[in-house]
Amino acid sequence: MRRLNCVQILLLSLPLAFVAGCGNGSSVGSGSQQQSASIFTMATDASLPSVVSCQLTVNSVTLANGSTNVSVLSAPVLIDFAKLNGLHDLIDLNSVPTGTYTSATLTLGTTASIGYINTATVPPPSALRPEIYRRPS
Amino acid sequence: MTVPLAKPFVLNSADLVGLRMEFDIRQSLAVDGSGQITGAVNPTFHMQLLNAADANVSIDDFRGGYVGAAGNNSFVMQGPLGRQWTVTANNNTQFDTGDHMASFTANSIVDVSGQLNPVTHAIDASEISLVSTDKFLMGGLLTDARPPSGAATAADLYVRSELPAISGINPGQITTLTLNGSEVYAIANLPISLTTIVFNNFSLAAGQHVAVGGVVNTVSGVTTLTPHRVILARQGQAGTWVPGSTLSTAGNNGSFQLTDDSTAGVLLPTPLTVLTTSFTSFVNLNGGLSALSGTTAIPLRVVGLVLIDSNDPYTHSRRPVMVARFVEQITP
Repeated sequence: MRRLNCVQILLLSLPLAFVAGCGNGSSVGSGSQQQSASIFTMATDASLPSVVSCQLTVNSVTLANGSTNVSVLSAPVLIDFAKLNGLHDLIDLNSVPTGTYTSATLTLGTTASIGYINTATVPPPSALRPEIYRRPS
Repeated sequence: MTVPLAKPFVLNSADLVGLRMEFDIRQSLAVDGSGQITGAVNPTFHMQLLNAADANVSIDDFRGGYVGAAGNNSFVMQGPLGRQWTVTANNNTQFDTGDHMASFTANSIVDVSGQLNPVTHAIDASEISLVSTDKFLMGGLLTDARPPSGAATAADLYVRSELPAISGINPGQITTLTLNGSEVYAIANLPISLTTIVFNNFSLAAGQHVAVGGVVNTVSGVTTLTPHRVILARQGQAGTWVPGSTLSTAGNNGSFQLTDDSTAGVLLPTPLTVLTTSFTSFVNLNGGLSALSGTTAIPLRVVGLVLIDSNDPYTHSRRPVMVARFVEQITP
């Protein structure tokens, strides 16, 4: 019988690396007054076969503009990335100083909860009636 | 760990930019030779800063509690982190479940799709659905509906989300819903008034992504949800195109088969029939449906609605199919 399994996995190396890309590159606001722009944060995922939930706590996301690190997440948030599967989940909106942003840092909570279907077992002839297994962290 | 952006991103005064944070589950979770999760995690994110109008930072199925009206065409809702957002409708906004703003109350939970307005920072809504009238919502995957034919009297839901969070039923658990046919059935993201004909208690199936609004009861320590609204929501499925399976009636109207081994795939038929229409968007597939040709399997991600087709074009039997809104060729 195929089963839904849920495990909690310790994330050992945090904060973590990510692959970064970026968009436009027009002129920089350079007035002497402190000016601001806004950044909204959006979560999405690239799925893995049989994973039905993948819950991570994102503790912080910061962008660096060369002189300061700017937070773009006002509080930690628990996100189930697996439910998104390409859809976009709006998380937060924050004001940030203008400038040229060159790097970013993401920190996660210490555990991940992964729910998956064990496809190695034989499915029942009738409708699937999965069971949940939760392994303590 | 801090990593330089591949290219510096310039933010000017009053700009509105979206930070797209993609968790690459495929890259992050190790699997063994048979595709089973090993438990090893190497978190990998892809981050992009994008203009607010970019489709890659559009808002899908944003859910929150209705707070109150904010003018004739706007209202305020509360989302994650307690933040309140203004939602603005216009003449093009689709009210998918047929419920308009005037009917929203403090007990309403709404589902909004659209884009953030760069000037007002309100959500310019393309779609609005009323998903709960009871101040509680549970979302997840149906894993079973009983009996196998006729009107369902019970369904099992793998809970992925709750709004608000409650004790007794938690994400990651399966809860059984008792159904009696009095529930309101509707489809989010399908703005036609006939959705109750194609989605109702006779057409529930394992693998469907639903949002269920209702009342939570706890008796003798057992928490259950009495459903009042069952809303079918769009979902993503990944897999590979089955060579030779494409059937086209006219243009992008037609179908193909997907060897669907992703997420809900094990709950749905394999291969999964995907129906396409003139409203289906094909991404990275020049030529649309006709690009699905040749003798080699093509990796795809399909976003759409899982519905029961009384006459599947391949099996000529009654079975779940996906009606596609997006079909995207992906890099494996």
